[in-house]
Amino acid sequence: MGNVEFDDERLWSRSIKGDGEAFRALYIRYRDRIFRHAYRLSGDRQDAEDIMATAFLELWRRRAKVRIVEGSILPWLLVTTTNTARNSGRAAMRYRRLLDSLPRRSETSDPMGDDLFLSYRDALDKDLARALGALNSTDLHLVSLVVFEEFTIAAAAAVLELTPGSAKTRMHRARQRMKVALSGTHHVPTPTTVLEGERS
Amino acid sequence: MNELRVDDRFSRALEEELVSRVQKASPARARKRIRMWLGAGVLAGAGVLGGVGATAAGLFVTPGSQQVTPLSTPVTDTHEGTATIELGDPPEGTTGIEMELNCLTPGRFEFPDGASTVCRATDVGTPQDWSGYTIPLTPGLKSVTVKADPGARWRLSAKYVNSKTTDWAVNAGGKSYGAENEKGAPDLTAVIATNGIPGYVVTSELEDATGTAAIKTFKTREEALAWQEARRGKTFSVPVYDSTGKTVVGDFVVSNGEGETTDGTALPSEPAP
Repeated sequence: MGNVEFDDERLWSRSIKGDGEAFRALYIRYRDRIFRHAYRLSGDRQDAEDIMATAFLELWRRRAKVRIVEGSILPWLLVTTTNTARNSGRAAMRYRRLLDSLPRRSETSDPMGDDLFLSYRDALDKDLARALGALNSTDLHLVSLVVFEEFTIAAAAAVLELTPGSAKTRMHRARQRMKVALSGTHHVPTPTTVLEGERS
Repeated sequence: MNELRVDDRFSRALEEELVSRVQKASPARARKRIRMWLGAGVLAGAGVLGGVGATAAGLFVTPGSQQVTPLSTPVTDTHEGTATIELGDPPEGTTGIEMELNCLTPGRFEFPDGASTVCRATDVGTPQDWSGYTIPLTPGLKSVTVKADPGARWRLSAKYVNSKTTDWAVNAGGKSYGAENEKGAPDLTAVIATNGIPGYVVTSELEDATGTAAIKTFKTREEALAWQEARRGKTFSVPVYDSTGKTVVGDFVVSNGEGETTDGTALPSEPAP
């Protein structure tokens, strides 16, 4: 752990100049949050790994188009993650060979207790993934940014190129739609309480 | 407790891959990217003639543009998976093989030199399913192999071509004129004026207006961006002449295309307000 923390903007501008260490710092800073977000959308560990990896590879490939919102690169990453999950594999196809070459954890290494816990959680996660599937992509981006990652509606509107007013209206409708979609399944109080993992 | 985190082995391998990709962007390449980006920005909406399109469309013949002459009838075939198409012996004067590929199913299709094109399900059956590519003729080359996943279907049309860059012309005043090409720019560069009339601008005037001259002096990205910022929203007009370089036929306007953007989208690293 270094004592000097650079902000995203500094790390990002160094990254695009070819500073690999700056990019590494950004990756380490956000990989778990991006992974959790990908997991929420897919409900599957391996898919989430693919989606997370694709999002970071796209971050680099499309670096000329990246927007920094309120000093953070996270909104862009989250939007890209959502798009990647939605298009199931379209962007991942570009990286298929690379993704297949990355080492994976073997599923059997989980101790029994974890397996039980995991299967229970997986069921909940699949429901949530289904409920999120009921949203159109703009609304899904909004929910991801505002509900899961606690950005302000204004920041989310900026990255999605919406006016704050229409973002607010969309947010309201999306919440309703999610509620309906979730009511038919388990009694999950709100998606946030179930899935909000430890934050670094 | 089971905190949801990326698997370490997977993450570390990905991390190394990402870092190496970033480092591969050497300073030289990064510089080129700045220049290209500025070029694209300042010329947005204007038409400096590259040649091929204008000539092919028969608008007017631009000296210095590329002329592609087909030398054989195209061989067109539909295939599935990886396949090789035999073209026979190349005719005299062949410089390359021109290929046009249409994907019939989604997939990734690789041209002989490793360039590839990816087709999405939404591309199939639309103009987006087309890619064109020309490879130079190498001794003994008589066929092209396209690599594709088993089951991926495609149609390829390939023919031998001769492509050569025509020479610039010289006017009565001894000035060369024509399209920009791999040799650089002539004294007078072919453009289309804002009134739609094709003509020529004095290359040095164009370079001043587009900032090509200034860009060459930049040593750092910051300098380039500061310069870019200073020009934001401004336009520069250059007179367009006929090929004599004396009669004005119109204006060529160079504008900083991102003039209205103030939210930082134009610049990759610029902070948002």
